[in-house]
Amino acid sequence: METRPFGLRILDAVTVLLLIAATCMVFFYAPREAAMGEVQRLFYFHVAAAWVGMLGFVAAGAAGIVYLHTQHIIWDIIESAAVEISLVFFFIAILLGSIWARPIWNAWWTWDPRLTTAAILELIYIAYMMLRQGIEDPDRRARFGAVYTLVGVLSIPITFLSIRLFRTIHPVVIGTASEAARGMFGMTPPMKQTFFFCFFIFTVIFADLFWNRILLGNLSKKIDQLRYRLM
Amino acid sequence: MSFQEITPDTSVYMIAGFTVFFGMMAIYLVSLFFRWRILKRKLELLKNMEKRKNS
Amino acid sequence: MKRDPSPTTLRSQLTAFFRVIASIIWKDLTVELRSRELLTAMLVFALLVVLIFNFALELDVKNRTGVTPGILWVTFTFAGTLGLNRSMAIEKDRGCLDGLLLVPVDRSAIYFGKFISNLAFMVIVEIIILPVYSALYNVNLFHPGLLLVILLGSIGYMAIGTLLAAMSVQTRTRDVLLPILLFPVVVPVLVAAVKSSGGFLQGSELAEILPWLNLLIAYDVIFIAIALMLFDYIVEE
Repeated sequence: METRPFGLRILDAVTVLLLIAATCMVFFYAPREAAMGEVQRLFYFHVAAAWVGMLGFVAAGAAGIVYLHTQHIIWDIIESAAVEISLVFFFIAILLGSIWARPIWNAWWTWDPRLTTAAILELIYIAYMMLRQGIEDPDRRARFGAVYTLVGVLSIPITFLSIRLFRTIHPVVIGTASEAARGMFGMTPPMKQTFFFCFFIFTVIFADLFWNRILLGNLSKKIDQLRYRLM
Repeated sequence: MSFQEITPDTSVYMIAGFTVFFGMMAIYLVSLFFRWRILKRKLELLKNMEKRKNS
Repeated sequence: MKRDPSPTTLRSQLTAFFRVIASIIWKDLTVELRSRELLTAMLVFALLVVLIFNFALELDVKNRTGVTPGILWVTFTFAGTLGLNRSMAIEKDRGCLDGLLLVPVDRSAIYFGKFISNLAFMVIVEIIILPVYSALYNVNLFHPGLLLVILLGSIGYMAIGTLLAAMSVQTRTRDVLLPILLFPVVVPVLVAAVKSSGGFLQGSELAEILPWLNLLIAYDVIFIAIALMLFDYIVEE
């Protein structure tokens, strides 16, 4: 498949339109939040990106298991595509969250359980990419990638629980309003609608990027196979 | 926070945030595009090599 | 990959299994006894880390008991990484791994063998560092609870470390990659070990320390199981 399939071109166009729609909705339809001001609008993209990033991670873990079972390289392509896109989404989520936090909590970062686990998760994504880059053999790369994805997926819940235990026994002095301000502002119906719409389109964006990235992976696989044949 | 009557002006941060979002997306899309091009070229090269080898 | 006809009885299979584990441990320990290169490296490194902390942190009497668990565990973490890297590199460079793979026994025997010998080295280093630290900073570290935590933490660290080191030694980047892979997933061990170490040192009630000990034990069990299941996929050729 050298040229991109027609369905993907449609999806690309739809994605762009939906993103424009979501941006308009965030700016014009959603009301200005009283306590936080304009920066609250970041919230819609921030949470959507974080959720989609996490779902991608779980998808990668599932793909890893299937790969180890079937040894079919397509699952490795799916897994690495999922991790790569999740890495981007989650990084965006962390940055947006940090920018949102600065005026609200007067800090770019706090070490509360969710944020700390998010940072660790992002580091696992990056470690995964570095692991793959250090292996030439495609079969070994796939196996090791799947193993590390599984190790990562299984460690993250335990990590989150351990840091939460850490924080409940030692209450942390963050900004006093922080825990309450963390997404706990009352959401009016237009806000909720914007919120869910953003969640929806971020999933669409993920799917679009995912499909594109898988095509890239397939191309790479074809090159590996051709190179092997020519040796 | 609950006693504020005036909503703080946090527009700067909002603009920064959306710039970050669209910027990161753009960077990723551009990287995908360039990687696609490089791989396409490699594929063409290998195909030519195969043709020459088979002929 | 056809295996040679393996021993048919359960008893002989088990014997072979334990024999492989024992031989790996024995090999590692005797080689180390002769050359002492691994232990020396780990030990000197650990001592240097403790020394650096003396300058890096304010270790006056007031702060000392608070930061001691942290310093100890950072030291053990780094020394442990060093040990893992060297241990696996020796295995690969001398071709021992390939030889072991020829034996018709379950791959987990290799995992257990390396896991236990890596753990042994880490514990030896810890046993030496504890009295040194005690003497240097006038902190009494001979609390049985603390020793238990150090053992449990080391088990968890080495359980996942052995698996990841077996992977990283087969990559291009080798040594550098292990900490990058290991540290994000070993965070629960560090958190639980530091908190429970601190709890024992400060004489907290057992009820406060128990959640952390439970977390450590849970992590150890879960990750030994995971490593066992996944090790096969890493060493097949």
